[in-house]
Amino acid sequence: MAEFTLPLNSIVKTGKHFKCESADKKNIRIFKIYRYDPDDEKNPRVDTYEIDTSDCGPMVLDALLKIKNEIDTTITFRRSCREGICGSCSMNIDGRNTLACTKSIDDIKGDIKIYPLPHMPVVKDLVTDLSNFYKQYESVQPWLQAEEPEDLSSERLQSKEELAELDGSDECILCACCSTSCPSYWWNGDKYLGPATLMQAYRWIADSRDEHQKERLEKLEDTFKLYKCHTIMNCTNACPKGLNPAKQIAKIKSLMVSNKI
Amino acid sequence: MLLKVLHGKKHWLYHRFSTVLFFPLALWIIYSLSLVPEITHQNMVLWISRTPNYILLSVLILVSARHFQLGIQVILEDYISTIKFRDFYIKLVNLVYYLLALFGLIVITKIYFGV
Repeated sequence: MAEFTLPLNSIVKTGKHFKCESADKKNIRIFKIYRYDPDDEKNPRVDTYEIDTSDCGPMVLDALLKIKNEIDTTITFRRSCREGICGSCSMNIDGRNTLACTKSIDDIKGDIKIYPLPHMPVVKDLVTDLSNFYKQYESVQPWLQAEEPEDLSSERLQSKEELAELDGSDECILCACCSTSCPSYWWNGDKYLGPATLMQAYRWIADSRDEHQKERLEKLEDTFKLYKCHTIMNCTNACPKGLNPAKQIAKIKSLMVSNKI
Repeated sequence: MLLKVLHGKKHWLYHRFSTVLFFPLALWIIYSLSLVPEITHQNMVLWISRTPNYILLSVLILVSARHFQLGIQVILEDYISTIKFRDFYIKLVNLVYYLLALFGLIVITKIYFGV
């Protein structure tokens, strides 16, 4: 049954305040960052950092790196490419799931609140456990499935129109911003595949070179895996790459009907 | 057999069909009842006694009860994680749907035939 009470260590407390000694106070921005270490058995807390933005890069990730390098080395977060390609620095900034490397500090009014991706187990601070997310991705077999061609020297060609079918789904960087913004994924994340995985499922269903469309669709014929999408559209709203996972999920549902699975 | 629960694609399709059917029927009942000069027991008996009204009202009862059952099933699936309880409550809602629809049909049929 649903749990109506929260465990005691879920209460977020007020943490430390790191002041900025800069003479020029007008460029100071306040970052409120969620901190949690499961090993120290303490409640999570929100630490406050004052940052002089005139001495910092323009993006939220730049501020996080400045905090890590100059103020508090214990803060933990994932990052890699710094240009919105790897999806590592996905987190909840100013109430929205997005990438810290592409989110400008100037776009946020007031204090900048940074939390880990919602409804995921926290490994430490802003790092969430994405094991289940990747396992679900693996379950849709995200690779080309086709018989060996008779002539092995030939290529598997696609027309421009066939390639265009993949537009809007193969640009996904698997940052998990969409899945972790979906209330349906929050309630049934162990059974419902979530928007990111379903979009990848569609990416292979729609691939003209793949020969296992029917089998792929059959695997999704289940109360939870696909049909727990209630078209809430949070996924589309959250995607930092401007993609529309809800539309791709609707296409899978449409194919389910037209293919008489 | 009567308590058979719909899942996956079938559930999704039936839910959409019931929504599409419900919409014109809802518009019809609002329009049709607005033409009744005064909502009294006598006028309503007269209204149901007309064959087109009786047929459309029967369809509306079946469609809305089915739509209600399919919608509640989604909520139960979302919020009850224990499979045993979930299946029990879904079957219970199925039963309530059949009983409500049957009750509604019996009542308007009795009125239509003047029993």
